[in-house]
Amino acid sequence: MNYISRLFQRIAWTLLFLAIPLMAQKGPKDKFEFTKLNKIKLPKVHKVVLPNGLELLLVEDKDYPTIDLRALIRTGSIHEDADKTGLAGITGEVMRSGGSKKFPGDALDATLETLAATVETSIGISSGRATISVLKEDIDKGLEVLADLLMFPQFPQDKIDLIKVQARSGISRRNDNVAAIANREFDKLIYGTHSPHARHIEYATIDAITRQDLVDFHATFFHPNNITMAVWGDFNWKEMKKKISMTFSGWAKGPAAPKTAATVKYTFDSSVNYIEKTDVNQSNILLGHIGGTQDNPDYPALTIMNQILSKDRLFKRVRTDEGLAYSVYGNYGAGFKVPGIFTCGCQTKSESTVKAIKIILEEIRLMQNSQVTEHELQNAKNSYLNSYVFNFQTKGQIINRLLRLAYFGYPADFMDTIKAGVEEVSRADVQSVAKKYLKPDDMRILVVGNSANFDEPLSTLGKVNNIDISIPKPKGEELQQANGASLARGMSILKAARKELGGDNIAAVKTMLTNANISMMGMNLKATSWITFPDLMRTDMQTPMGTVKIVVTPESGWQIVPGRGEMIMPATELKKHQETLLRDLLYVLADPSKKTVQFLEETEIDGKKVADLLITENDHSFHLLIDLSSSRPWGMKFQGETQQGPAELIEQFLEYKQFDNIWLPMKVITTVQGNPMAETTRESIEINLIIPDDTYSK
Amino acid sequence: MRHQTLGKKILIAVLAVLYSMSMAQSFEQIQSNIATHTLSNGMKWIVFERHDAPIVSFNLYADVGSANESYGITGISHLLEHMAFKGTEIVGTNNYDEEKLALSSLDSVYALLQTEKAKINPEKQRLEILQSAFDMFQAKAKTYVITNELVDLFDNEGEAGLNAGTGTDNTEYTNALPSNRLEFWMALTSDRFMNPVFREFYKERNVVIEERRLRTETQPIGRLMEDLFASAFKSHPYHHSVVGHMSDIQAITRQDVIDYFNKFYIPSNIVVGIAGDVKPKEVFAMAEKYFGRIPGSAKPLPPRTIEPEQWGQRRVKVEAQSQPILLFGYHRPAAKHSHDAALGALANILGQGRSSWLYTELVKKQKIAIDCGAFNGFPGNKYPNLIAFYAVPAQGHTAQECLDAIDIIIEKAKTEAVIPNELNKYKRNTKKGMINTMKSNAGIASALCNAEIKLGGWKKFFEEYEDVQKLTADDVMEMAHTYLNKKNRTIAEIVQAQ
Repeated sequence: MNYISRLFQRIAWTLLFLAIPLMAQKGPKDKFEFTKLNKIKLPKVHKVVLPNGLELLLVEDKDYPTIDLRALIRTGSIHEDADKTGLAGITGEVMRSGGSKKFPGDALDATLETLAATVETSIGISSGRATISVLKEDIDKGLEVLADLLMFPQFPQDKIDLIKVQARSGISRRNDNVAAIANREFDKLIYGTHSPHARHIEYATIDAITRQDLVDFHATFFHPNNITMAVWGDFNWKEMKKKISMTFSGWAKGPAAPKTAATVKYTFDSSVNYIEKTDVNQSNILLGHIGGTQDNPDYPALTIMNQILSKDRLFKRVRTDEGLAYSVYGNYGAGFKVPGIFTCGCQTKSESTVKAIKIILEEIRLMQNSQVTEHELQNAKNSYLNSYVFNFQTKGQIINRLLRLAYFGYPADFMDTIKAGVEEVSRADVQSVAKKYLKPDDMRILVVGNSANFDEPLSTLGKVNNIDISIPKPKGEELQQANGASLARGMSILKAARKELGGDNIAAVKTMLTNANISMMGMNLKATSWITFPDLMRTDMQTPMGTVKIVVTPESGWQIVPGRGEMIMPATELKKHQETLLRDLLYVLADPSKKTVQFLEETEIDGKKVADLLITENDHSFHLLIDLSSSRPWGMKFQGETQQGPAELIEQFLEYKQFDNIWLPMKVITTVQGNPMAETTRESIEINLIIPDDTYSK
Repeated sequence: MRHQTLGKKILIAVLAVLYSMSMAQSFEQIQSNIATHTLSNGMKWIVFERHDAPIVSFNLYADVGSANESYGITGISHLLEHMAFKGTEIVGTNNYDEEKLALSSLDSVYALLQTEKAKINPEKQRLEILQSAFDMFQAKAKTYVITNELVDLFDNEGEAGLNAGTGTDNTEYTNALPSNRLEFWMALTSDRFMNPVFREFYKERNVVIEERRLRTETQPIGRLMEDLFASAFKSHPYHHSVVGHMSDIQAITRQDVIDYFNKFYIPSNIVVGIAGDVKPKEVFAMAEKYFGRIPGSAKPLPPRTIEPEQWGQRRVKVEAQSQPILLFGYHRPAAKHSHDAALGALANILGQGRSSWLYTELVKKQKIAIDCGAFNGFPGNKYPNLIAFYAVPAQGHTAQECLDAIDIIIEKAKTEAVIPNELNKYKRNTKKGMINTMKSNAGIASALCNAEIKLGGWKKFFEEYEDVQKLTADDVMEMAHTYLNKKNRTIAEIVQAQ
């Protein structure tokens, strides 16, 4: 800027300011005349349904050089079995972390991050979600990746294992944070411990999930006709439509996603629930009962009631007047399809716990017993109506709302309906909905805190139910603290055993045929087994009923039992058989690097020094016991099945003999709690024979 | 691919330059929508004009935070921020003259009460009398209060972004209103910071005490951070947490807050950022009219204490009913230092994203952590601060294992150059991050104030982007060499309480 223009500008300013003193400054409480608000610019939304049923909402937004996509998929954890809780979430996660054949997850991480792009997938309680966020020049890449992930996820086992490690760690950490405990347990108090809206993962539910479950879950829900995509950003909508239609053209229509009824059963009652946390000086308090849904005609009045209860009543009383809490609120929650929760809450020092609860209950009753003031009503309505414009801040916000409303079957103009409703709400309406929907005598109260310092015992509020939040231990193995040293030592002992039994010759074993006699419960059985490493196995057993044939492959397993025909193994059964393969001595020693090997302790068995190694692979753990004097495996210890149910089994390896430069035990004695269960004697072993393909087919 | 032909290298370099030029151009266009004005009292205004929606975001940014505090008044910046919601001589009261008398009596009784309590042998009867007098005056003062009127006035006009935040370096007060409420905001906000009345002080102090319990004392991670700062900064006021020491919060007086306000909430120490559907000329004219009334004075000097060089690695353990967490940091210079961009790249490449060195090794390969990462600006960045690393050990694994694994990576960063793709990752992410900031009115309003105060000019927000585009692999390696040394490090970890 040159001198003249600067001077000119200064003069202009001076003139402007000279004019100002004529207008008096207004006080903050004076009346303001507001000019008409500039118009809300509603974006043009282009709706398209592709031939394969994929729905698109496209909005051009050229202000910034980016493109965003958000897809909602008709799925959710409401569809998973309770004993596999976590399946939906893990499926959503591994779709992305595992990637597809063309775009393996790890490579994708690097590629996308280098572009500052994100492509993500996830599955929540009642929907699945997929997103793209890219600089506009990368949209082709983003779409190509997303399409491949949605259509052809690989679900590699190592990424399933990884997320299981994370899930288990999450379980072990879930009681570290007071607020997390309170929210989790309160949901369970309202919806029920086993409700899909409140239940959470446990070690057992994570252990029960197999790769096949992920494959099946994906196959059930991920079809183009179950998906709606919103796309907004710097593009021409027709070109974008063409791009998406081409990228997803190879994806055929599938069956519609199964519908689940949103059943929440609730009976109103009151209860006082307590969770002890001895290392805190503040109580985390939640109280409430079931709420409703937004399609309730009373929702506008409830919206205003929420505002007054939270802001005018609870905040002013509990926080401002009493100084009892930093955060305090009361909200009649309403979901789209599933009832929300009426939740009141605050965090207050231990010494004012009961006082705070009593005040909150008092304030709820007050909402029912008298009308709110005209000032409160007007303020709440003005707040809602004057801030309505903030529902239209960006095109992304608008199109995302449309996407959500459509997904849950709400009309596109739903917001306008609520706004019109709010305009009509009266003081009487607020009192009437408070009376109708709030039940201060039927509140479920939860306190997480340290009762030693409470102002009054919680029992003054009612009979106290103590909630036990101790974490159910994982079934089978309880991992001890592993560290660098124990892992290194474990690996070196395992490698020594490998060397002792045949070294690299073991890795060269591709197939094995074994004939054995099994003596069990007074019976003698002959068994022949074929193994093609790493994952095919067939066992034929001569039983008094005839030959029982068992075949295990990575995808499926079946048994042929005389007189009963062919039976497909259920997934859990298959997993157990696959784990048998993971424990095969040759397999264990072939490639130790694939496993986590943790040295646990040195013990003495029959006067021999034995190392106890905990070996983990594909989520399965077992103990390999190695005789330290000879470096030969003494035996194994693992969770197995007995007639009495699951138990810890010990196998002892005896009579090692050499085949093709590999030493193998000819006898295996199985015991359970010191009692012999079975004895297996190997008659012959044949290594690297040619096993015909049809050996493992039906 | 680490090996590239010379031709390919040149091509990439040329493309990168062209690319960064085109971006710089579009950033220039955005800058042309930014106007500034400084009032004669020294208060600076930055306006970003954008008419997409009829809304506007405000950020009143005070250049004061917990780093300006000294012993005895730690937490006062944050407490003041709470008090700034209590109203003025007009707002929040039904009779200020009477209220003023009651408040001053209340303060006098409180002072007597504290004096008595401080005696070695306080007189019990005297304490009781003073306490009941205190309660009486507090109740009396309350009768003049219109509770939370300031907030209600904002809400009534459709406020959608009312908040405030205090950090180590700054205190920000935010609003978002329909854009035709500009003058209303000017009138209320100028009154708010010209004639504040810190009423209901002793109750609000209790609210802040509950906030300290909520965020720090009942949170294992809150405790961990507090102890990391206390160990890493033995002299500089980054030593104490923003919320302050419990005993200080309990003892700060209303007069302390008034004095602190008078020292730091002066026009020369405040910048206002505004973004949205407004015209800069109108904004500046109104700013003159409403905020020009506030008398000006010289900007206060920054804190004197400088953190001295560390004499050796420090280590602190926090016991909590919690699984282990590892957090450690190395001293680094302030944001305005020329190394800032390269340190940003170092943290990004080592510890941000799923392809970062840390995540790849600890989470994906070794499976010893469920999360880990690196970041800068801890606990603030106006003054020399920390580049920090963290790991959340996986079940059955320890903080020490994670530390050992990260140490190997850190040593590798000193000897192995990052590859061009990794550097590009940081460059592109910086660009996308800037675009995302600019998409939000509140985001750009805050970012411009921040650059103005901490970096010496709002334009630095855009210039930082250019600094980043110039980075080389050697720059990043040099940062690892210069700063990631054990002597310069403080380690904090959570250990399970017995």
